[in-house]
Amino acid sequence: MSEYILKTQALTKRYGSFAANDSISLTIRKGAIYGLVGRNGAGKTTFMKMICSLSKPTSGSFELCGETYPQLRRARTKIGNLIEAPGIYAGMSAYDNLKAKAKLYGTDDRKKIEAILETVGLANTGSKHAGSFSLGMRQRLGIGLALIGEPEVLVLDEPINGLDPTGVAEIRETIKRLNTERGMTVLISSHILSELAKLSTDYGFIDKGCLIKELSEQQLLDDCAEFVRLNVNDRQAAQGVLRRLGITEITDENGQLHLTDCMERTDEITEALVKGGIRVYEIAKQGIDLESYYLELIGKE
Amino acid sequence: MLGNISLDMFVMRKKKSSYVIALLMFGAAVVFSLIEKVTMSNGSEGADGTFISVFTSNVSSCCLFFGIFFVMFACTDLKNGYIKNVAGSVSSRMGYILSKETALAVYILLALAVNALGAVVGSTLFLNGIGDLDASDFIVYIAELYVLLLGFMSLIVFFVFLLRNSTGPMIIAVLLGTNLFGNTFYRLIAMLLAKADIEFNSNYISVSGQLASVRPGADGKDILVTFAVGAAYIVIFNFLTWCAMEKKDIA
Repeated sequence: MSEYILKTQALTKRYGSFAANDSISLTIRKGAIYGLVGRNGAGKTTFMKMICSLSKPTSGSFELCGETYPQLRRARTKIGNLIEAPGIYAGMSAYDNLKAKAKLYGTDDRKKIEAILETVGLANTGSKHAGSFSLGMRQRLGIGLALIGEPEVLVLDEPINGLDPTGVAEIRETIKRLNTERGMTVLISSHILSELAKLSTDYGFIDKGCLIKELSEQQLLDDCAEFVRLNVNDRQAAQGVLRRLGITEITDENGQLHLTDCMERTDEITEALVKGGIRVYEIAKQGIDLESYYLELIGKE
Repeated sequence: MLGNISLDMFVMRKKKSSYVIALLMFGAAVVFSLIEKVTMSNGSEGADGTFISVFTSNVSSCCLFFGIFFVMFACTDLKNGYIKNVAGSVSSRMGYILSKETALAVYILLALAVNALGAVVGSTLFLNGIGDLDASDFIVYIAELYVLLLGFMSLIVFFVFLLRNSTGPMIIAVLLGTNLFGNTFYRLIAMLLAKADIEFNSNYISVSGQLASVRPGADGKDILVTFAVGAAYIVIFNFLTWCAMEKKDIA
């Protein structure tokens, strides 16, 4: 069995001459939480729709749960999705909404449906119509609908859009729980990158329909590595002092020294520099967050 | 496919409009009985005060209700986005449509039964009861009606999935359900053809025209035309729906 649950090869979706997705080739490991990062209109939803068989690729192919597009007979039942706003029957209760979809799979067992309601925190909604639910409750019901049929892959498109901080935290915890307890692979998109950074184990950066970078959490941490920014009167002499301390990863950028792999040694560095007769104007820890990293990638200020 | 039908039947059971439309049909049948009674007491021609007279008048007028319900039901998933939960899981898009049509086909049968019940109640209350009823004529008539309503449904479902909204199909449903379209457009065609010395009533081969004019005890040729029109609409519009669904993405 492949270690990847999804592999796309030059997946392309065109609307006339406009390429919403242009030759996207990415891989998602089993059990990963894959964060698809991109601004509005970057092509995230289009990509997800193709994976969920809601939209047909113009060219390219993909392999999902061991089956290759378009032969996705079993794979179709192994994927649950929440694309854009959750699709719910407003006049039905949360239970009935789940029961309706469960009928599609022939799994409308009361206990299973109640277990999903429990998972998404809607067990106490009774016969209340979904139309009167808050935005957060609707989103959770949308995730609940995606969980019908016990999918192996969960595709969530902007699941935290418009939610208050409590709602965001609830959704985050639900996704984490599904991933750790059930080993569910999650493909999630959001433009709230700080939230994505709290969840994802892998990242795909997408812009103007193209995948511009794909990397793991560790690679991202390395890429976004924090550094110590040092502003001194004599950079040449300071570098000598730092080398004697065993700090070798020093770069001189815009009149400042950037030091990596010495985050916990700022006190020691300051002391050594002062003892070496160097004036320290500023010493500060600095790093870039996911948002800055993404903006750097797409070349925006 | 069976799971999909089960889903649609469940949704139909849960929709208030399913019951409201059926109740309206029942009420209309009772009202028609009353109208029939008044018409008879005025000595007007064409009113014979029988169950079959009430039923046929009511069914023709209820085509509007059927049309409205077809749009409401077929449109629900598109409007609320539920289609995104389902369409990706089914092996063929047409399976998704056919399951909706199956649910609607069951509804048509039930609604015809409700119509009949309303006509029985109305004719018992205000007229002379069921009276003499030629069972074989009535069964053929019901079969004709059923095929025509399935054709009408196929047409409405096609427009729902082509236009992906409810406004356009609703206008079409009203125009066809009330036969307004037939009374204007087809008459216009007939007038134009008459100028070329061609006598042809295109309303005769339209599903709305047939629904407005189908009556029990028709002759063999008319029955054949009725079945042919219904069947043609079912085949043509389902094929067109298949084309529309296979080509388009789910929004």
